[in-house]
Amino acid sequence: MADPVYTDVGVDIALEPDARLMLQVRDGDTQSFELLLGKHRLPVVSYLSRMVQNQAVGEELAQEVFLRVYKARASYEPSAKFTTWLYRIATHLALNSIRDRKREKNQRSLDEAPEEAQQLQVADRRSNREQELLAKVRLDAVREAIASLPEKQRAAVLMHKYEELDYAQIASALGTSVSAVKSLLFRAYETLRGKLTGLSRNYKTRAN
Amino acid sequence: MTREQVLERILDPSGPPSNTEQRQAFDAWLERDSELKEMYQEQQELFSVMDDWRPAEPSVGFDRGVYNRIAAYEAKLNWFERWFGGFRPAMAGAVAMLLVGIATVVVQRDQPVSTPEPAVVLVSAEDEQYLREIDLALDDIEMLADFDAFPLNEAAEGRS
Repeated sequence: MADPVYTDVGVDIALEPDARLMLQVRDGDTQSFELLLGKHRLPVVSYLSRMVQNQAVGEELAQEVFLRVYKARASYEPSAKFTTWLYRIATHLALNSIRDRKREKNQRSLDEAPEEAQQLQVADRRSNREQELLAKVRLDAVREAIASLPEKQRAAVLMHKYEELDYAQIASALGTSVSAVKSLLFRAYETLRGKLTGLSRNYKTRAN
Repeated sequence: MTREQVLERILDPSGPPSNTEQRQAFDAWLERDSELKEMYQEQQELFSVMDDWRPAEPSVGFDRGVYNRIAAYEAKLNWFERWFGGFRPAMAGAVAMLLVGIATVVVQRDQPVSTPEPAVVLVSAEDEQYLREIDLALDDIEMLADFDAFPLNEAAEGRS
């Protein structure tokens, strides 16, 4: 039976395995840190890469997330689920990075073509199979639609759909209420349905 | 099941409820509310499209990057933080014990050696006057003693 933990909100929760590992990291156990890294590496990298729409930047940010986890080990208290805490750090870094990149983009020349668009053009020229191309276009449409969402809606959708976090966890990661998260998700999915469901049917028809 | 709960289920990536009773209630809602039904179908389609965006595996050097960052961070720390940074609870206990020890030594050193306190004598104004008179009388006796005990004898003779 897991040890009960009394949180700062007065609710007792079972001490989850990740929190237990983190407490061991706090006590200087480096193997526990390796286990946490191994378990959360892929979801954190995926979340951040999708948030910033760039794998390399996503990985850089994910490395920073794990560094922050390590740095905060001494003061770690299991008052919330470890995953929630992890995504709170990740979301904070992602939102900061998006804002920084926006500022940089504004300073750059408008004539400059985005890196990803250039890659797409190269890929288009090389690809000769229609199915692959359609799949890629469809994927790009998904990425573009998600990228066009306001930052908090984007974060909420990514955590909800891909990382399977519940409303309370998303609320904690975003520093908002559960009802606000429901509202964010409702609006985000509404936008995405409008942009992607019709396209999906078109691509499917063309692919068949 | 309320309409709001049905809406939440529609937006839930895990799909409709698995519980039979709830599933029936959910389906009944979709049957009688065409707006919800359309939304459900579109949402399922959306989830299917979103599933195409699969996560990319982190690069081979990802973990090395994390440990390099940790090494760079540790290199910046001073010796105190490096030794005790990871063991704050233990460090706090050790520091507390050290402080208590130092405080004990300081308090013991500052305390004066215990000596018996001198008796306190309270002297009133009357007592002071009395003591002064005794003092004067003793001075007089001493002074008269220089005159070879005369006064006492002469006085006795003169009075008689």
